[in-house]
Amino acid sequence: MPKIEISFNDLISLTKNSFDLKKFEEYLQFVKGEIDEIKEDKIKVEIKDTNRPDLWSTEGIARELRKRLGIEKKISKYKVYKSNYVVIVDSKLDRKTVCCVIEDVKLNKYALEQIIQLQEKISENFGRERREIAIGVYDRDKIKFPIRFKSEKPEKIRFVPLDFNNEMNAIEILKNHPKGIKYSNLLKEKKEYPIFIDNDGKILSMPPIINSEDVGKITENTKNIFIECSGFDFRKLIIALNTIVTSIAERGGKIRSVLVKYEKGKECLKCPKCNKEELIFLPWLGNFYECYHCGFRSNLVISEEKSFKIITPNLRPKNTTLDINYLKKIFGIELKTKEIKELLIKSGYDIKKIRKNNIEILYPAYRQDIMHQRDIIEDLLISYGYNNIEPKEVKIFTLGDESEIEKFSGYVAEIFVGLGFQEIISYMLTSKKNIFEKMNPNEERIVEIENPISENWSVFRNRLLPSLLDFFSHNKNVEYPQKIFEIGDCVIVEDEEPKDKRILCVAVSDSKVGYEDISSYLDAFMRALEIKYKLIKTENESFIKGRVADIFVNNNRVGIIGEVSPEVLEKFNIEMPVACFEIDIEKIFEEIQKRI
Amino acid sequence: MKYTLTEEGREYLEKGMPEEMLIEILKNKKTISLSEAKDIFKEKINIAINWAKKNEWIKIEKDKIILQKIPEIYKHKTALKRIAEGKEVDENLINILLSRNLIKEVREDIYSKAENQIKLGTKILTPELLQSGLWRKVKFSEYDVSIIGNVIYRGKRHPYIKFLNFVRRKLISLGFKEMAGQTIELEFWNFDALFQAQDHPSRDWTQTFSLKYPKLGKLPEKNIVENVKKTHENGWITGSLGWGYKWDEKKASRFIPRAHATACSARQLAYGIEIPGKYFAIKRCFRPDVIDATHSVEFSQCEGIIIDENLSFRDMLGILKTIISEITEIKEFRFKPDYYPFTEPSVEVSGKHPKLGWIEIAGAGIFREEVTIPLGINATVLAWGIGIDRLAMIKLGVNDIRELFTKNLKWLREKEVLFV
Repeated sequence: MPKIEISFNDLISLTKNSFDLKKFEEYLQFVKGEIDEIKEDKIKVEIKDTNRPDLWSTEGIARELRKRLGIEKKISKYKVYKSNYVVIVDSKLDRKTVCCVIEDVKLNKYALEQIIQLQEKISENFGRERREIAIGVYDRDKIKFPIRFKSEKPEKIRFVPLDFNNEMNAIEILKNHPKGIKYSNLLKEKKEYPIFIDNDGKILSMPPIINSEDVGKITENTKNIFIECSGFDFRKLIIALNTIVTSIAERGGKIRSVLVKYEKGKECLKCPKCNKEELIFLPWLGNFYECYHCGFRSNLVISEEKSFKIITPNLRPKNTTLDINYLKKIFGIELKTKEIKELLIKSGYDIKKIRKNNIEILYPAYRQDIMHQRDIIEDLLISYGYNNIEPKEVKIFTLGDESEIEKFSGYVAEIFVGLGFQEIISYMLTSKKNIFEKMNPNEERIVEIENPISENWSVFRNRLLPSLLDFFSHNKNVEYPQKIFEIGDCVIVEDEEPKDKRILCVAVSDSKVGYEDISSYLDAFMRALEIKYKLIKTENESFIKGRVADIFVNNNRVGIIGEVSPEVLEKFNIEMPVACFEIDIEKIFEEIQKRI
Repeated sequence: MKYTLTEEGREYLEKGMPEEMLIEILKNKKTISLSEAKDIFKEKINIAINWAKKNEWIKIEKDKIILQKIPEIYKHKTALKRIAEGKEVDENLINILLSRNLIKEVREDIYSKAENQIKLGTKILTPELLQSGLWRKVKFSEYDVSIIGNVIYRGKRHPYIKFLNFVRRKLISLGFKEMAGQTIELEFWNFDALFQAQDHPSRDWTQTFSLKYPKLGKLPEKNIVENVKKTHENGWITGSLGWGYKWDEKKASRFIPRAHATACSARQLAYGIEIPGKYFAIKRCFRPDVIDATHSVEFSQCEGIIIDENLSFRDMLGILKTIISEITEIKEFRFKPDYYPFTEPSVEVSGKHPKLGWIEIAGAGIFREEVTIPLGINATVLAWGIGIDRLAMIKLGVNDIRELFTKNLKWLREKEVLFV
């Protein structure tokens, strides 16, 4: 969940309305946000919706609030002006890019902060730590178009990286620049690195690592900016570009398109209808493109032979249809068409056409999360107000029941409570040290976490006894005898498949306790369940030799019983003898079910 | 051979022998009617008459008992008294008393043990003293009865488990069936079947662990996998645009520790659901997190679904109200928009706790059609999840989530919780 920092005063001025912090907290529900921290004017907000990057900036939140509070009663539209800016993508490059220019931007301190933050959040979050998306923002006036997006040998790439004042080559940047160190793995094993380079041979940036200090830095004085998003998937790149462009444009500026030429073969993809080459790419519709000139739509097949040209960004509202009956069904409320219209406007949509059963609607360019009617319906519910909906009592008749294993576990627990035992519970996550080193057996394969937060929470237990011994070690000053039991799930691996096992472990610790005592309890348990069992002498590293047995039911080994070896007790730092048994109660339950 | 008195013997020694009592009555009256005697002696009448007659102390004429002679001593009673005092008695008398069932034999060793205990000045009651009857010779010391003995502890269930069982019981009474689930899940059930795109922030709404071993498992039946794949890629027949990327089977085959109990619901939807139906699960879940008083990497989640042909958001709010007011003292609710990748619309529920004020209790929503249709479900599914550990902490009065898994035996022994 992205956390973003905003200035409260900046937000108020962008919302074009005045409200206090308390009201803001209430309004935050419109963007599924929560205040995380307040430091004077700076507020840290957590936005829960990971699929709405358009809300990850002050501009985006303000835009949403203007609609929901009825300050702005129309859909947001962003006009894109034609231009002669061209970016040429080299045929050898596996990366793709989409670009934009915004002229006459008004960049104050807040705007700059938000651009940097949004850029970071999108490339970290949506861009999977820049693996999928890298974003660059540059001073257009320092660039000589056309720009080339190509690859180059690392030692030949030389420029001054952002926040540095000396020129370095790409290898040095990856070694010495903080961003280079952080993201160097993204270029690992590549023979050539991608760069944006202008017509004068000036390097703009080396995505996804770093911009140049010269061109790739914007300040409050920057008048015109060039933005590029690069990565591998057009759909993601377009989301990133539209989000960032519409966000910056909220403060003013003139958006200009950029023609991105993908150089493949000599031939260039053309509109089959009007024969022109400039296209608008609509990947969210299943790789469709639209002719920039005549609007004809067709499926885009990207091949190695054909070059193609796309014009970015495309910020026209997108259209979809809303089924009125479906809407009412999900709401559970009768709504008049007039009400639906009002809710749509309040949620930032535009109405194109109202029919008897459905409404054709438009949604703004920054919304890329709308995949299904449900997404729109939720928006309308939010505008309606969740708390304005009267909850309805659900009266569906169904039979409830507990799962078999829980039922049986409860029965087993009752037996041991009757025998005077205290139930304990412990975590399923533990350490190899507890399971192997302290218990003495040779290490075997158990379920192990790749990214543990600490050694103590790094494996799943495959037995319960270590947890009970650990428990004893924490209660050395508590009255003896200590009689405890645990019923819990362990995870074992059978044929490379992890499986849950419901295990019972019973242990007694006292100054005088031994095999005889614990076998009495085992016998009481087995008698309670009318199970015939056998104890067969065995050897086990965790128990005293000659005082340990396997428990067999119907020739199946179901568990182990014995006196814990002094070596193990010493490792757990326990100073009283312990006798115990551990049983797979799923196997016992199977036996009982056979009887029924 | 040593003897001790039977219960009857002790009664006669104390109150007198029945024949003795008969003579005492006749001393004044000389004669008494049989029916009158029956009223007095009840079931002992035969003993009284037989022994008095045997000794020729009385005779019976018609229905009258007539006194013939007053004995000087009652030999049987004297013998009983001597035996009670541990004195020698004539063998004939012993045989009579044995036949009258007024005395019984005491084993020589028990008797001597009892005698020895008395010699050593015992102050406590022993089985030997009782069996020999020699306890009569012992003066038991008096105790300070205000002093309580050693503390003992009864066997008990864990308070946290008791709470979970209480919730379980409540849900069952509301008609919910408990679902099964595996601790180690496939990413497929934890993510993909719940329409969370691969390599996309929709998988980041919560942090998850990954496994070093084992790595990959087997995906479910081909048709389910295909449906999910198509839905992710282009929406399939769900009415959705889908996420628009190439779905990777291998990513879905990775094992992961279950990060949310909703994984159980996904499985339940795919395998044998009844419509209408209500299902729940209380399961341990695992997420990397800082470990502190309110966060743990291992915690329990209570999750449920309700399925029927026609369910709405209004029903959703209603069922949340019912469940929460059943398992908590909360009666006042507030609903807020929320986000989960698998539900739309989604809602967060807060409730006004009598002591703590407004607290977050549950997250819920209507499963997206991109979740239900690929699993073969055309009905509406309402899904809810409750952070059950938080409620357990409130109920048990602990301030640290780690204390639910306490290693403090003293606390466990002393903590009493009642759930009603």
